[in-house]
Amino acid sequence: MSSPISDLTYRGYQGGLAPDKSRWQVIFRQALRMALKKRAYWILMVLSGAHYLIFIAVSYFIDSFAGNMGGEQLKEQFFNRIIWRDQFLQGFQLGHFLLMSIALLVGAGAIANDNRSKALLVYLSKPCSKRDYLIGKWMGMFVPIAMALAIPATIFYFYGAMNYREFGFLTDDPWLYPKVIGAIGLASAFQSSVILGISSLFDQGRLAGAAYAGAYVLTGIFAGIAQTIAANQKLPESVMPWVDRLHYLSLYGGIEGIYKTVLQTDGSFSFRDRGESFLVPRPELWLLAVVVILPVTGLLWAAWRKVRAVEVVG
Amino acid sequence: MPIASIQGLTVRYGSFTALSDFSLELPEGCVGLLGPNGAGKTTFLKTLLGFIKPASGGGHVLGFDIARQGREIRQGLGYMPEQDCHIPGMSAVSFVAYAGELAGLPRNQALRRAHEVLEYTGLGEARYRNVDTYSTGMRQRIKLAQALVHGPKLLLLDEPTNGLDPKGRQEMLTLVRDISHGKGVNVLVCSHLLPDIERTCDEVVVLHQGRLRAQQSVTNLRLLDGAPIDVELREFSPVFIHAAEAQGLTYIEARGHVVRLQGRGTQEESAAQIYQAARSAGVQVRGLTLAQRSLEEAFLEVIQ
Amino acid sequence: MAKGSRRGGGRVIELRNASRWYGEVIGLNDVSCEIGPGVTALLGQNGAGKSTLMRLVTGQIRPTTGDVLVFGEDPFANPNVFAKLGLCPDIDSFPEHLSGRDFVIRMARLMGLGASEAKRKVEEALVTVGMAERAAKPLKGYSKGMRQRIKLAQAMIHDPEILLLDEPLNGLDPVGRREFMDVLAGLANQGKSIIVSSHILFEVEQMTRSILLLHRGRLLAAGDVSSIRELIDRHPHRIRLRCERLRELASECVKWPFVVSAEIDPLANELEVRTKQADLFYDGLAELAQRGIVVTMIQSPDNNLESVYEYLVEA
Repeated sequence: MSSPISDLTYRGYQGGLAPDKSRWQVIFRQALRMALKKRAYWILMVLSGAHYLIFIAVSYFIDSFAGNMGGEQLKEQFFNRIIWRDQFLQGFQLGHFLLMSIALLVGAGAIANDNRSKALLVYLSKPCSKRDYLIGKWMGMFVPIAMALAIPATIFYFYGAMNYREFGFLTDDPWLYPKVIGAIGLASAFQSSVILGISSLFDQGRLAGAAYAGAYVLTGIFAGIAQTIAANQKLPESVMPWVDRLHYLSLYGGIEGIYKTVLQTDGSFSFRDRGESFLVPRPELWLLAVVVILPVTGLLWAAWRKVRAVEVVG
Repeated sequence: MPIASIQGLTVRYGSFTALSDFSLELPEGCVGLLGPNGAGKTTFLKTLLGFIKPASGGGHVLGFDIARQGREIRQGLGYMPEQDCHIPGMSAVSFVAYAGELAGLPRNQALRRAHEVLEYTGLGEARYRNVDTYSTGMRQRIKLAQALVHGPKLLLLDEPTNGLDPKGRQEMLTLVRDISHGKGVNVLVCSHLLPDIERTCDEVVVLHQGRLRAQQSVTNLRLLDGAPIDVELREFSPVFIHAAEAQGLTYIEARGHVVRLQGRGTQEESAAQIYQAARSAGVQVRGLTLAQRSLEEAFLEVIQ
Repeated sequence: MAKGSRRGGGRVIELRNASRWYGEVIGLNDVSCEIGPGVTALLGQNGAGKSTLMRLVTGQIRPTTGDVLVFGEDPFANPNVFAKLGLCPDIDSFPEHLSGRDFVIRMARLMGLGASEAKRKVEEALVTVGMAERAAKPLKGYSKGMRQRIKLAQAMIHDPEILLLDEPLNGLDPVGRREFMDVLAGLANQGKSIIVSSHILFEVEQMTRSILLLHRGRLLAAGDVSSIRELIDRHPHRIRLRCERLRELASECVKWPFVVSAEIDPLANELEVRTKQADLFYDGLAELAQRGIVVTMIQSPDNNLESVYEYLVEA
C-alpha cells in the first residue's frame, strides 16, 4: 500500500538514453543557441549583405530612372556588364570583414572559454568523447557562419530570380544557386576549422579572437600588397603570376579563392570598371589546396591535441 | 561484489610516477580515499574516468574494462571535480540539464532530472540564476548536481567540502552520507579532511607515494588493541591514577585531562572500578569512552 | 593537544565600535573586541566580515565609524604598524618562474631589508616553515602545501608581532597540516599574536580555544570556547550515555531537577540527556555508580567548536 506522503528523496535515473552517436548534436545545439542569441550576430549578418543591398538599390534606381529620358540606354549598359555569379563573389568581398567578425563572435570563445572555466572536466567525464566534443563545436560554428553567408545570398538570389530574369539571371548559369551554396559551405568549413583550431590554443576567448583577427589582417596585407603591385604592372611578365599567387596566401585569399573556384570566375566590377589589372585571377587548384588544406589540417590537429581534461604535471 | 577491481596500475607523467603497481578492490558503499599531496589520489580518479592512459595495468569498473569500455564506465560514473568547472553564461538548470544531455538523457528527461537533482542538493529559487553569480557553496552543489543528474552508480567526489563554510560543510556531508546509504549509489570520496571522511565513509583506502598502504573499515582503523578506556576528568589528578591502579586497572598514558586505562574485565566492571577510583581520589568523571585512534593518528601511522 | 593560550593581557589589537560599510553593504557592524598574544581564531560564514576585519587591522581600509588600534596606533597607512604585521592571504598567484627562495628574498627587499640581512632572515624563515631544502626549485612545480609555507615565510621575514593568516591550512594534507600547526604554535609561544581565519573548525580547535565569531558583520562571540559553551543557555549540554540498565538510568536521571530531557536512542542503545548544569549531572552519575547503576560510556557530542558555532549562528 503506498503512503499518502510522497518519497521525494533522491532516486536514480530510470529512463531511456539517447543513442551515442547523437552526442555531438547536444553540443552543437548548445553552441548554435548561444550563437544565435547574440544580437550582434544578426546585426553583422544584415550589414555583411551590404553589397546585395547596394546592388538592389542601384539597380532599382537605374530601373526607375529608365522610365525617364535616356534611362533605357543606361539600364542596358549597366545590366549588360553585370555578371551574375560575380555578384555573389562581391557579396563576400564587400562584407568580408564583417564575416570575419561573425566568425570571431561565434567561434573565438568556443573552446577557449571552456579551457578557462575547465568545462572540459564536465564534458569528458560524461560518456562524451573528444570526437563528439570537437564535431559538436565545429558544427556549432559552421552552421551560424554558413547561415550568415547564406541568408543574405539566398534572399538576393530570390530577389534576382524575380526581378532580373530578363537579364539572364536564371539562364546564364542554371546551377548558380547550388554553386553559391557550395562556395558558402566550403568557405564556412574553412573558417570554422581555422577558428576552432585557434580557439583551442588559448585560455581566453578574447586572446583567441585577437589571434584570429591578427592572422586575418596580417595575412590580408599580403593580399593587399599583391593587388597593388599587380595593378601597377611594373614587374616583368614571368613574376606576375607569383604576385597573383601571393594574394592567395592569406585567410581572406583562401576564402576568396574558394568562391572564385567554385563559381568559376575571376571576378569583375559591377559599378565602376577599374581595369583588368585590378582583378586577380582565380588560383590554381594546387595553390588553393595548399592555402586551404594546410592550415585546416594543422589547426584541427592542434585542436585534437589540445583538448584534454588533464593538465600535464611536470 | 566489488564496484571496481584494479590490478597493477602504473601511471606516469613523463618521468614522474604517480601510481606504482596499484591494485585495489573497491567495495560497495562509501569509501574514502586518503593520502598526502602527490600520493596519486587525483591521478587515480582521472584514470578511472579515462582522462589518463596508464602505462601498465588495468581493471574493471562497474563490470566494464577500463582500457576498452571507457564510455560505458563514464555512463555509470559521476564526477565532482575539485576545481570550479561550470560553463559560463548558463543558469544552474540549463547547465545541469546540459550535463544530463551530455550523459545521454533525452532533452525533456534531462530538464526534469536537472530540477529533481537541484532540489535534492538544496538549490531552490537560485537555480534560475546565472551560475557566474553563485557563491562557493552553491557552486559546490551544482558540481554535485551535474555529477548526479544521470543517476550514476558510482560517484567520485574530489574534495567535496572545498571552500565551504561550516554550515555548508555540514550540509554537504549530510548529502554525501544520505546518498551513499540506502540510495544505491556508491561513493568514493577523495579528501584531506579526515573528519569529513569519518562522517561519511565506512571504509578507507590510504594511498602514499603512488601505492596502496591500507584498506580498512573506519571502525577497524580506529580500534586500539585491548580496547582501552579514555577517562576524562575535570582536572588531572595523579591520585586518581594510583587509585585506578589499586582497583586493578593498568595505566597507559595521560593527555591533558584525559587518562587512558586498560581494564581487565567487562566494560561494566571496568567502569565500576573507575568510578570507585574517582570517588576515592575525589575527582569528577566527565567522560568515559572506548579509546580510539583518531583517524588522523591512524593515517599518520600508516604512512610512516 | 597543545593549544595556544592568551599570555599576559596586553591589547595588541583593539577595535572600539568599529563599523565599515561599502555603499549599502555592511562589512562590519559596531564591533568591539581585543586581541592579545597567542592564537585567535576568526570564524564566520562567507561574507560575515572576516576579511573586512583583517583589512581594518592591516590598515588597508579605514573604519567608517569607530576606531581600530594596533599597538595603540591607527594602522591606516601607518608604516610603524605595518612593520609589525605579517599577512598571509588566501591568494594563490605567484611569479611562477621564481624559486621559492628568490620570491621570499624579493619580498624581504621590498620590505626594506638590506641584501645580506634579507638573505639571513629568509633562511631563518625558510627553516622555520620547513622549506629550507626545497626552496631552490621554481614555484611553478610547488604543491599547495609548499606554497602555503612560502606564503608564511614571506609573512614572517621581518619578524612581525602580529600574523594574520587567511585559510592557511587550505590544501594541506594531514601531515602538512600538523607541521604547519606546530609552526604556528611555536610562534604563539614566542608571544606573537596570530589571527587565523578558517572554516575548518576541527583544525581550528586544535590550534586554539580563543575565538572571534562574526556573523553578518556583527560580533557574535569572543573568548574561550568552553566558557562560551557554558553560556549558551538555550542549548543545554547534550550528554550521551550507555549503561547495562539503560532504562533504569533514564528514570533516575529524569528525577533530577537540572535534567531537561532524557531521550533513548534505540538504534545506538544509548541515552541522550540534556542538562543545563553538567557539573551536577556528572556528580549525580558518580552517585548512581555507587548504587550499582554504572555508566559504561559518557560522551558530550556538542562540547566542541562545531556545535558551539552552530548554536551561535543559527539564531
